[in-house]
Amino acid sequence: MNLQKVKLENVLSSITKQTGLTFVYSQPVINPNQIVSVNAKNEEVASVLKRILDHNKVEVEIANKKIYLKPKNQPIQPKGKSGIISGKVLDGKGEAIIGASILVKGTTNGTITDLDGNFSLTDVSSNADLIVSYIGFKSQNIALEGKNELNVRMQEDTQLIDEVVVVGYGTLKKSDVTGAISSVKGSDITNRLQSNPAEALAGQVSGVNIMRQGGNAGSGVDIKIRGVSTFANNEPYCLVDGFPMDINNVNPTDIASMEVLKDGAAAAIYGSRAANGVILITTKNGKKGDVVVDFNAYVGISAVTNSLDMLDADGYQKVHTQMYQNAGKPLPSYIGASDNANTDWFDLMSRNALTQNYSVGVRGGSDNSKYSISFTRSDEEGIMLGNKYVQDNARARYSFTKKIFTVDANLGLQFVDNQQPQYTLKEIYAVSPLVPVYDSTQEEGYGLTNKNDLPANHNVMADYDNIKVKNKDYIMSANVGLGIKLAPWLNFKSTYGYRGSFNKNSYHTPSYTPSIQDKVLYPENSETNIYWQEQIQENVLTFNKELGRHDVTVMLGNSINATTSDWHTVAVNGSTGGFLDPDSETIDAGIGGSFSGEGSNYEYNRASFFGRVNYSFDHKYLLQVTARRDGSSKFGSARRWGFFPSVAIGWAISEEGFFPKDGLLNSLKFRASWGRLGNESALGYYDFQTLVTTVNKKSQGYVQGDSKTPWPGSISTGMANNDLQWETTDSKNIGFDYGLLNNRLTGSVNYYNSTTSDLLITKVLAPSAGLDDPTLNVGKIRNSGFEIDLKWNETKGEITYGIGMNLSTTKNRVLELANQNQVLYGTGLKYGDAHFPTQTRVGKPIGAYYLYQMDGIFQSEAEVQNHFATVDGQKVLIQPDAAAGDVRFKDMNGDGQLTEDDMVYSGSGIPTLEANLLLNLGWKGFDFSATIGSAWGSEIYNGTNYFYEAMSAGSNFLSSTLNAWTESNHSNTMPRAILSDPNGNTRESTRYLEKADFVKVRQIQLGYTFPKALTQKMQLERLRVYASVNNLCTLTGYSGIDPEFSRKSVLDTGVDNYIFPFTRSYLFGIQLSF
Amino acid sequence: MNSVMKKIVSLFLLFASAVFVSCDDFLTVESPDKITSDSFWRNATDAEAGLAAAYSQLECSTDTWAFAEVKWPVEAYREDMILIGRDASNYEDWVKLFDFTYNDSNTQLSEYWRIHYTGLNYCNQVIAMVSGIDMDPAYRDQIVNEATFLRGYYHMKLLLNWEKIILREEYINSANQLDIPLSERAVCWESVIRDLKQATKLPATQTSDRTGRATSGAAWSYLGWAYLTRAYEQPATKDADLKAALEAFDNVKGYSLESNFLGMFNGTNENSKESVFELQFTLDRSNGARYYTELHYWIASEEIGGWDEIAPAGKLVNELKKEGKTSLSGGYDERCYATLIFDDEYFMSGNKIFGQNYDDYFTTNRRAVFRKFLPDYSDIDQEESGYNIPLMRYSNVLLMKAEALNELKRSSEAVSLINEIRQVHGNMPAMSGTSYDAVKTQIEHERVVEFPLENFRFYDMRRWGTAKSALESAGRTNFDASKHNFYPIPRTELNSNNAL
Repeated sequence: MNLQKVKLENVLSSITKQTGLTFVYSQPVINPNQIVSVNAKNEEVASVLKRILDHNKVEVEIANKKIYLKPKNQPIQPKGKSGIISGKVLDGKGEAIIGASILVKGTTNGTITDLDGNFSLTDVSSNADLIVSYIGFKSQNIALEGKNELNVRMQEDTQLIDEVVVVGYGTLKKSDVTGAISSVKGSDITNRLQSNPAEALAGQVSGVNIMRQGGNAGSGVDIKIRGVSTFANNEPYCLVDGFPMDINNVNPTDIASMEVLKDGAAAAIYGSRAANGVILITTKNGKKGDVVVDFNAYVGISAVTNSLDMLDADGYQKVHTQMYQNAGKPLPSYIGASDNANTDWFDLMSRNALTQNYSVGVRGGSDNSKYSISFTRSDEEGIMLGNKYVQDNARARYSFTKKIFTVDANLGLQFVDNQQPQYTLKEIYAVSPLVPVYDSTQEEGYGLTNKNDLPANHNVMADYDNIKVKNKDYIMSANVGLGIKLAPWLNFKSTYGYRGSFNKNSYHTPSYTPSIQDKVLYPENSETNIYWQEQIQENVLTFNKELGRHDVTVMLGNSINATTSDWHTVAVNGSTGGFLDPDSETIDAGIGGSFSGEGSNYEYNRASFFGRVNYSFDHKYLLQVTARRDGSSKFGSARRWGFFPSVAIGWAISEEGFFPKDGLLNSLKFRASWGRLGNESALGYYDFQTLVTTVNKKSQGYVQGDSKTPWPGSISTGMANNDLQWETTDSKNIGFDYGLLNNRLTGSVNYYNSTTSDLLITKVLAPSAGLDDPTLNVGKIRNSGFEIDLKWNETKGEITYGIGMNLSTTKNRVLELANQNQVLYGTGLKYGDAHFPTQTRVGKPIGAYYLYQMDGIFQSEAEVQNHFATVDGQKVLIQPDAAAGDVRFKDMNGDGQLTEDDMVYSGSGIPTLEANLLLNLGWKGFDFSATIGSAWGSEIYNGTNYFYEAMSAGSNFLSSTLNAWTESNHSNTMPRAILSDPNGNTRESTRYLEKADFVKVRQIQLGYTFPKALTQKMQLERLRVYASVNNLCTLTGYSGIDPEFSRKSVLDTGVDNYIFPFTRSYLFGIQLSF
Repeated sequence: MNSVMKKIVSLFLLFASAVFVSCDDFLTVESPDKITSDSFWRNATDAEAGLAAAYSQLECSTDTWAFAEVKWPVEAYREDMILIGRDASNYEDWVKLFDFTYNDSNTQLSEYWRIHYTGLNYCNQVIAMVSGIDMDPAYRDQIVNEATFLRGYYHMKLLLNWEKIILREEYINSANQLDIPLSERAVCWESVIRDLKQATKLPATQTSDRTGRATSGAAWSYLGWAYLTRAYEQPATKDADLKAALEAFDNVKGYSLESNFLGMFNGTNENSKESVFELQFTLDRSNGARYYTELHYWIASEEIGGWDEIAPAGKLVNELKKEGKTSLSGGYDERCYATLIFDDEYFMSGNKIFGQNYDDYFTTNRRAVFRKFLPDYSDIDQEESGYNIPLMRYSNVLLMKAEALNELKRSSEAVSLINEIRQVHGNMPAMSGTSYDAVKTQIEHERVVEFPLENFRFYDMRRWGTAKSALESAGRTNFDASKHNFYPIPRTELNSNNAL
């Protein structure tokens, strides 16, 4: 250290940075503005300090990672003497606080407590106020009121600790943050008892929407931060300890903290990766001290929360009879057949499932090195037969410091065994209850639909018994970073990260018959291997210097990222022989059969250069500027680079002199930011080129010659587009962070407005173009909304309680498409190419509903005749094909016909308001917590009702169809059953639209931590047992499976299309540390 | 700065700049196994591979299952001679085609439309790109002409089903070619006729390694059909079109009627001397090849182990039996036995139905079902189907020629053509009468008997203006010629084509 003529304050802070020791002193003893010079190398701190401080007046004492600068030989004043105050400062547990500062209010007269927590002060007037403060505790203002002896109990203040926030390529003090960043503590994740950290995040943070794709074990979780900004994947970029990783592969108990970077300015340092926001996960590392062993385990039972109520055998025959009779067609012979069964297929295929989770972690460290090792096994059974998800997760982290070098290494291994049901929900719902599960008259013993004119469907039990699928993932991630402290203010870090995943997938069937239409004639075996890897090399140079009240941090870096994947499939089919044992599950078992193979690979590279400047003046005025340049191999050379800058400012208003110190409001910070982000995830690896594909199948090849020789075809199926460019999002954010009532109430308010332009959309081309649908840069979307976070924490006697609430509003608008009248349709519910309930149009939310308007049901032929429009003076019947019992639709434009123009905007599947409530309560050893979520203002298109209230073709239906309109049952909601539906009762209409509002109790948990006295006898540090219910109940008017689900394509938002039943689980667990 | 740090910073900068310089190479990746369109079209091999793709979309035969499920529901269900099968009642969109209650959202219609246009895109690529290839000029011309034939063929099939279509005559390589409006029917016919005429320059036969590909005979046949169809649609030029049709049919040379009628439909007599153009399939699975379908299950009735998706209407059974057991061999018209499986002594012995007799399958409901297009397998479950489907037979050329002659009032010349078919295919005596009306009636009968499941019937009825009466006589009252003579432009097209 070589500092000449600087303020003492600067010397002290530089010592803090070098040693990690913080200073405790009071102002009359030490004057921080005193100008000193110091030159020291490899010298004891104490001796350095003694040199620069007046050793006659100041005594230096080092203890508990703190350096106490105390007045020397302070005379202990005799008690009781007027003007002299003495006392003791203790913490909540009654232990002495060393170095607490005591100041007579309005003066510079003060002191600090000694090693026993004692203090004494002279010249204190008897009506003075004393301010007692200590880092990490709430300041107290004590009126003396004539007393001359004080015992002060300090209360811990978790809010005031200046937390460090991970911001990407570095950290920032929370007080210096200018972007919209939400942090979640590891304990909040661990206690949620989810095998997936994303799910544990649900409801914790405003503006973050977490939804499961279905209730099956191993189903993915979709995360959306601040609405839908792209037509492609809306998943945020997730990094674990600085390296990208699939959030689904992280074990929640390994997490020390999670940061969600929501606005453009916070995320912009990740440039083109960050358009959907960024989630930064920091895993636990060891701490200096003893070895700590944590063991967690829970077991639980999951059950179906809600399933579809399908018709039983009687109901089936009743509705089908109406369907055929109303169409004037002869009844099929299954009506009243003597061999009808009554099978509840869903009940047969579902079960109560067992969930188990065990994890063990060992952590520890010394002065210069830290380590952490953990292992978790999570074994989740699904509620449908054949569904199981097992994950083993091992992770090790090690870091050490030697001289100026710091090395940090991480190693993670995951093994995933994912078994999904090998039958479809569609078949379970559609298959007739008249079919028995087993039928001895059939060759293979399974009941089939090949009799009595029954509609053809699968016997799902036959599928379940015969199809053998293995799907295993072996995932490795390893990274190592070398940090070099070039100077106290200059740090260089170079890191290398590797992530590889090996997926092994096999499929086997013997010959069997699930349905007369889908006979599997020959045994078949196929094996697929996919290897995927990503390598990342990054270099980051960080400069940090505090010059007086100016604090500057500059970071510069580059990153290169190379991804490759290769895969192959080998398959053998017994059509020409082989499979002496049809159940042999290898490729060789099929020797003699017909072999086929496929395989390919791809390469995907990216390069980035980035920099960030953080400047703070007096910790009051904050500025952050970032810039990033990203290049991607997905673009042609002319359009490959994108530039993504951001600016953010902050003003810590409560640090200003004019800010009232004793008001209701104790802390207040204003933030404003703008950032630009990019995205290219919608693009394929070679989309800008037209590639010629070769296919040796009917779809693109032909047959020629007398010997009927296969003739593979080669052609390009797409169109070249060299003009593809980056999709960019401009994101603006204004917000306040605040603390009220002695920081018992804290939180933040944000308003954001982000606009995505040059959207990359898979544009559905006119089928007459005969081309594959290309991805094009088309259109603009805006998302805007408010986010409010509130947290109340208080301790009253032995009760501690907390209430957390967050609210977010979302307004999504499509601002531009290729042209003003362009319409983008979602996926057709029927086979993907018919029945389109959603349209994306300018001026409305993405994937909004455009529907015919149902207007009750025609109760009589007269009503049909009365439903007319007058066009050119002529009465025109609007629904000429209708009869009594059919749905009446509104002719919106009055042209006398129902056409596409009568499908009008009817709402959207994007909630306008989401609100979450988090409660926790502690009393003695007991803890209770509850998480409640809700969403408001959206609609769901109930695809289930479209399929299973259709009553227009052979299928099983929902039991609600028993209420179908008949001459004797004049329903006004459920039309008549009629084969082939001449009136189009099942057209895209408001008949299937339902309010999606819901309130959901996501989790309640009750735990008990055994008293220390007892656990210490058992040689344990901590022992807690708990019981928890996940997904306890949902209050909603929605009649389908669940109002909260996620769809792959944002164009289909809110369209319920075979949602896998969700589960409620009851869990019991134990957490122990020793 | 101290010296260590200087070194490291300069190393960092050096590294960064090195990365930057090599970035463009690093960021340029190429597909490992697919070449770009610009580097394709090098030689005759590429040209042939492109042509295979142009053939691939014929008759919607692009998929093992969808082939039957798209072609027959769209083309055959609206015929008066056809019933939907029992299982087909369970597919709403199929029933709607049968009931004439379909709308523009019908999935089978949109598939039919899409697949034909995919074929047109491939044809246009071949036509545009092959002409620039340095190869044997004669073979190059042949490939271009085959693709031109196919373009005419795809357009014609669309024009037979939609009143107005979008003409795709260019290789699309820019976004402004994507959205094109519908063309007037007359303009469409001109395009079809132009392409088919061009294709008449094809060789009369293909070498044995290219069997199944288009010939001049195929081009003349479809050209004749196009003229014959247009003749009825454009009365002002009817005679000229009839004469042009006649001339085209006269140019179909080198074919003769096949006495083994059944063999043309069950895979035992493929690419026969009667076959002018035939859809090719194979069961050859070597090297991952898949060129087979599930057609046999689709057509076979429930009783014989099929899926029962299509059935003969009573009207067809009556028409096939109409002349009674008057064949020269003492039974019904021979075509009756090749077309139907029915309660008749012919099927009571000899195990003619997958190794069994009628009685073995039909115990209660002794109905007639289709035999045509069922394969000559010993067991229906034995294999997927890889047998060819004749698309244009010489008998069709002769019957269309007879029709053109009759419409030109040269009825007596038509009689011998009809009799030739009756004799060779039906073993039936000569027809009686030579008047225009007698010949007209006879042609209708012969076409019904000759082509069940070959899906010409609806086009015939529309041409003759008899669709409504014929369907009504089959109890199909929903047909309204103004709405159902042609299909509606699919909703998928209306939704995405900005020129509509």
